[in-house]
Amino acid sequence: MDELMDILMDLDPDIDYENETRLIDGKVLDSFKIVSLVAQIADNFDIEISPKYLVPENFNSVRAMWAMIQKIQEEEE
Amino acid sequence: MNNLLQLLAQTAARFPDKTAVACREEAYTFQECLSLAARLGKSLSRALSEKGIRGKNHPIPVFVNRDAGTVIAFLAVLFTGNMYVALDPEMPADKLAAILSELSLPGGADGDIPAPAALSSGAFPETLGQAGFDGVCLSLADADAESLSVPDTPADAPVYMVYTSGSTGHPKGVVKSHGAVLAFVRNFVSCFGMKPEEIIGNQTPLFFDASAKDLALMLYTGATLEILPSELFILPVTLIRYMNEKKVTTICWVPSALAVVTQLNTFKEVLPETLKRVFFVGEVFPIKQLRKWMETLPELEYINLYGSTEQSGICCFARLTPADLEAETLPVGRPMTGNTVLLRGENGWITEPGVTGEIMTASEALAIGYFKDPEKTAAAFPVLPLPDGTPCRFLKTGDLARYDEEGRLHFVSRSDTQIKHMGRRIELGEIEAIAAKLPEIARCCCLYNTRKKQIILFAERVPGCETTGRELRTALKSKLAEYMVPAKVEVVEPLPQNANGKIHRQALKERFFSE
Repeated sequence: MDELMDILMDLDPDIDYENETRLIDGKVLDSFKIVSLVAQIADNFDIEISPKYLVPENFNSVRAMWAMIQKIQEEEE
Repeated sequence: MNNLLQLLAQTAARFPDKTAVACREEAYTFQECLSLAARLGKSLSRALSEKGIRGKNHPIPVFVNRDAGTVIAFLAVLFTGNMYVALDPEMPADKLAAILSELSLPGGADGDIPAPAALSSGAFPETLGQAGFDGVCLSLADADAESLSVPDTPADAPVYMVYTSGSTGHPKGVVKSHGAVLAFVRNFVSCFGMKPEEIIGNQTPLFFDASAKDLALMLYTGATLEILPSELFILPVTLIRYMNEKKVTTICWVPSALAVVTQLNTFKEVLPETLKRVFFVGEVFPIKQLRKWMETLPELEYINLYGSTEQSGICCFARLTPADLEAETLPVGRPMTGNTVLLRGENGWITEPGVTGEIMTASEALAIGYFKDPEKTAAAFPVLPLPDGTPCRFLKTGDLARYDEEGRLHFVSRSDTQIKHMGRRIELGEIEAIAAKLPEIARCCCLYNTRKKQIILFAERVPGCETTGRELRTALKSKLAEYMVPAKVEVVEPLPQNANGKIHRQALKERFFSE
């Protein structure tokens, strides 16, 4: 999860990722940041994020993102 | 045909009940656009005369929302014979104040008259009061019962002004004429053709100059301008479904937005069904993402457009084929009808392939110049002899390019520190100038990491200052437009210097941006 936090902090260090649960619904992350985020998650974790995962529920919190990454990693194995 | 309203009137006579502009459930026909803008124009003209404003060609701010009504507000300004200034309602209060003070009109008893009126399709930004605005706020609901008639504004009169990043830290207004927009749209349609049944899916915000193309094409051809909701670009599966539902046939987006679609593998879930043509403009399209578009949807046309804010629309284009994906860089192509595009080197015009020079363009579509800045205007629009010796007004683009073996232009780099970030034009010097005003910063230098697509500010603090880079970044957020805020502020003490005592940009790049 540290690697994910690093990506997020790089993206915008001013966001309270620990506690934020409405990163998308609350428009805390904008579209540019999401693209960068998704690309960096894909790069750093060497996974392909299928578009079916690109729903607000998977990006509203760090926990949700982490769960999604793990799920994709399991699927790809 | 001299101005955009005469064009609208003509198109409205041909297609009165056809949808001109739409966003979600909101839609206006050409006739509705014409009549509502004429009525809102009447309200604006009353407000201006009450403020004692005489004459025409004044800049009138319009706060841009992501809706169809914003287009009506633009047109309403044109009915009064003035030019609209499309503004981002989310810009920082400081920047808005600087722009509004520049928009004061000459001729008051005690000097300038502060900006007398502002328009919006709906709400006005809260920062308007903070920015010291004291004029009349008019929205669509304020449209008068009476109408103005279509004015006979001449072709050389200003139509709109768009603010772009300025290296001195002060935003730079580029003023365009009705004639320039008309010249562009005529040339564009003669080059690419465009039928009234087309549906143009707009991506670029209406305060961003790239959107003026979509608008001009709608007015000229009778095509429908479908404004795509911006939040759909976050999750493009929904975006493509929405475009299919709205039967979008043509798009002209910045490559960043197109790249979002393929980077997020959207086509594995949904494919565009009605889309025929993909234009892109504003920055270099990463070939890897373009390849995904072209290989998944080979039957579509892909056209790279090249232009500059200092002209209306574009001046070069390249229709791309799969072979172009194998080259190192995409061509920006050849001049569009009605445009002269030449490369200038130290010893005059360059004609041979492989030699880098600056792109110089000439056409009827060139901008009038920079608002209230004749010096910058003269520098950017020099009169130079054409290869046959005839003097001609050119635009010095600042873009360096070279010809390939087929005589097509390829973009190489900028001649200055201007960058394109997510399709937006940014002067790194503007970020530096604004950051340097922070009391904590002694010296700073702003660089763009092209690999990570991040703006990084390198700062040297004043002696004894303990403020962290993160805190400096937070402080910058209220001073800069969101897309200009550096991704990171790196405190580097001391900043490396070159032999001349200037900040050593290359050393910083090597130290921080290498893999």
